[in-house]
Amino acid sequence: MLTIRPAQYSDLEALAGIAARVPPLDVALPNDSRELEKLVERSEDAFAAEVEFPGEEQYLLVACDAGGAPIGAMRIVAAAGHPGADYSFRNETIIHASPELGVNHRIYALTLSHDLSGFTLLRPPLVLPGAQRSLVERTLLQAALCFIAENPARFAEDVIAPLPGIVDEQGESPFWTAVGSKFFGVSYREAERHALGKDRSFMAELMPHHPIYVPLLPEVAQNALGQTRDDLMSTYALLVDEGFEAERYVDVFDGGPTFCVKRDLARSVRDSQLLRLVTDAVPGRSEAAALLANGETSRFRAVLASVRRVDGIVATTPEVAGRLELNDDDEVRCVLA
Amino acid sequence: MSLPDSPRLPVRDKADKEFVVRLATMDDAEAFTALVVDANGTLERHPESVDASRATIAVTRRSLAGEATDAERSYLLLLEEVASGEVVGCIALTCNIGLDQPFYDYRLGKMVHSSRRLKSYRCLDVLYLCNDLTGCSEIHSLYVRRDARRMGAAAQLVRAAQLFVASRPAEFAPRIIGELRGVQDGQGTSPFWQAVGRHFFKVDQRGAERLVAKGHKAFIAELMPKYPVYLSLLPEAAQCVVGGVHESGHALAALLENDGFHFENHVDIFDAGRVMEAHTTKLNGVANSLRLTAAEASLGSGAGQWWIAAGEGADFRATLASGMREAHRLLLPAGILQRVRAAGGTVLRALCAG
Repeated sequence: MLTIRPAQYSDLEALAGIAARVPPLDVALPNDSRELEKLVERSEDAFAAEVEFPGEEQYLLVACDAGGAPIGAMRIVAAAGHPGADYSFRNETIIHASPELGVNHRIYALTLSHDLSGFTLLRPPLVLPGAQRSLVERTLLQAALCFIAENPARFAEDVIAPLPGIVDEQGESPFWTAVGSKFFGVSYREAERHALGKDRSFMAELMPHHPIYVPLLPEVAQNALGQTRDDLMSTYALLVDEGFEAERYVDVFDGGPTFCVKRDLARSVRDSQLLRLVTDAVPGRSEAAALLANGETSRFRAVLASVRRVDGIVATTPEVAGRLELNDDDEVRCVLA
Repeated sequence: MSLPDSPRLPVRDKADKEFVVRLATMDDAEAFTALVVDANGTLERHPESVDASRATIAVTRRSLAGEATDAERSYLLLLEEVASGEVVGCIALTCNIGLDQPFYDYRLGKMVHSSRRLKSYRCLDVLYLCNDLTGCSEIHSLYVRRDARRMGAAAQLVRAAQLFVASRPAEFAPRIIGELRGVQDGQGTSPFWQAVGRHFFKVDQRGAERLVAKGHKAFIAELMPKYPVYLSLLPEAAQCVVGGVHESGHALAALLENDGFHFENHVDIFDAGRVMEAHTTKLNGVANSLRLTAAEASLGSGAGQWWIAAGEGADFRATLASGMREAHRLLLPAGILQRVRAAGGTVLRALCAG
């Protein structure tokens, strides 16, 4: 029984184990015990805080297996770029047309944009390798969206999910080589390191102010646009499945895709139902796998379980109800998996 | 503006053939068309048609008669070989460019991106699409037939054009430009066009040039990128030809530089060829030419070379001649005076050629 809950201080060791298993550039979890500790602390504060509008909060959700051991984590950033701006490239369409010459071309240009500032940002779910990996990733994503739906004051109405862009065998990003390096004069890694820091004013100082015409870039950079690494293709598919779209925005450094969705249009939110929980068997309906989530904040719980549904009621076992910290007749959010 | 191969400059002491530069008349339509055909695309603004040539010359005639609009006023000058009377070269002057169809080019500018925190400082070259040169005068459509090259003919056309400008100062703008053809690779394609224009226009350079010849240059320009283009994002091959000059144009570039033109960071939007610019009043042929009274004489030793021009408007004729200055007089052989249709006592415009 997969359970999602807020990260706790006691998870630190397990989280460090997860972080150690992921590529160095992954920003979902810092692979550094001090940084990780800060993140967990920050997350605990965020879950505990009274929040009226999204700000500096970052929430860390942990996926635990049946035995209660953390096997995955996912980070939610309440407001991207807070307290400054979030930088992305918007892929704009420009029509170059001349009726006199019978010409009509669609040209794409990348424009530095703050459009996504303040949007709620999901880092890709990180899960230990194993048979259930994609299921755990999906569950973490669905749980995060349920949590966001249950706490509208804490999050923005738009949710974004950037995925890291392509890097070559040397760890260099072809997009960075073709674009960013010309403006920055520092290495990709150094720029990434600075970008994760608090003061991002250098972005305004260094990034191009004029749009960049995509067809003028080297082919290898064009091909990297909107593409993510092979090991994240499952996450890519997961986000598409959830209704996220990645046509408009890419990362300013590596050209990786930034997925966007309106909170209320994400599949897990749109298709979820608020049902009454019962723990005695309800006849007449077959069992289905569903994610159940309570409406709590610091005691947020989501459990992947077998359920039976009928007329505004969802029936499950007392054990699941216990994990959800709910009683009979309590309201529960239910997403069919 | 370029020549398919380099004229040898400066001019030789003794030219193999003798030339005179004069304004085109309607009778020249066929001869000019033959030049355009011979130029094989390098006279890109002129279609290979007699009707088009007639139209071009008609504008010259209207301009001479003072009947042309500001937008169209321009002059076609022809190089005539004296012995045969054949038209073997041409050059054109437009008084104000860009007044009917917009005149586009790229300004090569700089933008500095620096961050103290990252200790980063980058100076980036940026191309801005602009109409900066609107209203300037332009010297263009220089061509010399193969059999007349290497005899100083190109220099003679360029100098004659300057003397013509000097004769009608009110008609020309304070600034004058001359576009030089940009660098091409071995296959005759422009690396800059390959890197930039092609993506926006999706025809080959020849196709674009044909449209230019049909007068569609402004339409093409409207398809080009409106936002500035960061030069450093372009392939190296394209970056290094910006402001460059086709190998056939080096001699002309030197000639224009010698006469007061210089590169002011404007380049052609198609091939990034250098646009040479000058203050009209500082042109060699304008600033340094003298008004001297012609006198017929047979010359002894000590004669120098002079570019001389006689006649106003439609009667303008210019040539290179041996002459000797004596105060306000220029002593010239009878044959030369005849060539420019002047007589002793005519006031000439003369530029010492050393």
